[in-house]
Amino acid sequence: MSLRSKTSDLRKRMSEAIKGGGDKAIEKQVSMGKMTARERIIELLDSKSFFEYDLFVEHAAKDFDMDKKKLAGDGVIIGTGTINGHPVCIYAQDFTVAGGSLGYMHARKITKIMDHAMKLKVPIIGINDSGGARIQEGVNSLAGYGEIFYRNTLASGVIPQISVILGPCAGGAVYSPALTDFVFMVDKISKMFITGPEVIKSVLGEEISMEALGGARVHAEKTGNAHFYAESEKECFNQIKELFTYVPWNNTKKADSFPTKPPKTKSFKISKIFPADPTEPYDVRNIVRSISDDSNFFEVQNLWAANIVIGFTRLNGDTVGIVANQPLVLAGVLDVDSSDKAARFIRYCDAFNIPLLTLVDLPGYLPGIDQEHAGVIRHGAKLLYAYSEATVPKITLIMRKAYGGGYIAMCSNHLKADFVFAWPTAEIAVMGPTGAANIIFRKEIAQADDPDAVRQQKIDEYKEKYANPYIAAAYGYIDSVIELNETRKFILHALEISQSKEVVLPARKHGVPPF
Amino acid sequence: MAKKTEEKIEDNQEFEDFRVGDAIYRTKISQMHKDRKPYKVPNPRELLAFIPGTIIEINVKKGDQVKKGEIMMLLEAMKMKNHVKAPFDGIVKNIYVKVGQIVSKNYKMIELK
Repeated sequence: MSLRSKTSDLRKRMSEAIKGGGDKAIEKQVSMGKMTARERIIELLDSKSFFEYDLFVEHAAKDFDMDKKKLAGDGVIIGTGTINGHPVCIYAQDFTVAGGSLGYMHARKITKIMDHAMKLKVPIIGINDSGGARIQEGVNSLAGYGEIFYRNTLASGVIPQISVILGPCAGGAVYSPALTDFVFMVDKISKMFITGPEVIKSVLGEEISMEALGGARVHAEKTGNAHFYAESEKECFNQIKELFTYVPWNNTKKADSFPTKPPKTKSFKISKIFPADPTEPYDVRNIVRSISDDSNFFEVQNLWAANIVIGFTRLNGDTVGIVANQPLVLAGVLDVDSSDKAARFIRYCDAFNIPLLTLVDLPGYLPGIDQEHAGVIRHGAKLLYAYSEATVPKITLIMRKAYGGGYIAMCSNHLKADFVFAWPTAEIAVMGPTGAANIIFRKEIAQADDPDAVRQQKIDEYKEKYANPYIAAAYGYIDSVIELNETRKFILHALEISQSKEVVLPARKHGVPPF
Repeated sequence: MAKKTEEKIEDNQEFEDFRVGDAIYRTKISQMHKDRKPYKVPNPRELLAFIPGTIIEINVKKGDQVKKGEIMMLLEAMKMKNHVKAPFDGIVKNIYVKVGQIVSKNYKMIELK
């Protein structure tokens, strides 16, 4: 054979393989409003940056007449490319090939590209669109999942791992996304569950649609399994590209720096956003915007446990992780879900060298039987653990209420915040004035001729004396009480001088956090 | 992203009074919080399904005397035949299930007195 015929043979083989499951299957995929696996990769990566490997991999299954079937690329595409000019490894399951089912060679392709990502120290992105295990391959498909989960676990905190759910992701398959850093889902396209509606119906007789059981909205709002919710695949890819402007390429690097810009103080002026009355609501995200570069804020898990806000912003051009109580929702209380949400984000930032800025304004932990029985003790402890363990620069701003356990948990001086600032409106005390006065002056109130008047007087006295930042400042628990319009200045300086912060934790294999 | 949450929690909801400890705050109440189920004190005389499944056998009838530990029913769930035992000596006051019935978790199956 001549070089030319060998080349044309290669081209023929490639064009066959690239067709995936064929025109009919592609048509079906498109009719569901979905892009094909290859289109998705091309849309997500920088233009012309994608290089594919293992295109000619074939499955090795013999049982159930599988040896007579040819599955293009065994239902998954792997390769490398760039996003915002930085290298990434990527795989995308191809639903048009045997429903994107995961067999042994399919899994081998995924683990191969994951191993590459770990060696090259670059992020791994997985696009999930699969009916699940390839039943014909039996225990080998289970082995495949297990090998993926093991690599997800070892890669955790070393390279960023992104899961994009763009189709079904059911049964064991859901655990790979759950082990990764960020899960992206798209309305009406993404579905994630351990047992699907059919199993639930046959076992329980309960009927539920896939969307209501494990659609994007459910996971973004109710379960917290999804970090980002989008209404289209394109919007989802834009979210991923934006996320990658905030995170470093691996745990030995820092995220990209951008030119610094002042906040848009015309739209976001602290004194206009912030009410001094501790019972009045405001949107804490606007406080973030009032101090961040160009008033930018990229929120994570914005729909779930909205009583705490987490996300990325830039200060002086560099990424900072934000954790902020949200007085707009449930008065900003801590509870099971908000503790989980914040704790994991803190650990993410700590793993990837992202300094933490904590904005504090909370009445405390949410009282209730449901919370206690849901294990708020264990969940709340995650927050203490995550903050204590984090060695990145930690800066805390106490805006208004910081009572009791909530004060300690929100990156207090005692959990080794590097700098704790407080506004003059801050109230730092062991508990709220009414509760404290009722306990401390119980006898005097009970013995008074007019208990209500005495109670009110004692509450007012307590408020006057203790509901302020100066007692805590007198002990040095607050480093500076600052004016509202000085906030950005103080935080920028604190970040700047913390750049070479180094803390050595005691030697250990790993801690035992209250998972 | 941020825009969507704002739409969700600012446009669709009114501020409400929300008590935490001794203070009342103006805030929005999340749907998850509104949807939570009130706590019910468990009644030891009522036996609830501890797992969703199918009743495959009932060995007692209304008015029967049962001894502590006696297997009153079989509840098949997750490929296991689970024994539903009498928690104390008593009399069957009522049976709320039939053989073949699928029960959800916490479904009242039997009541003793």
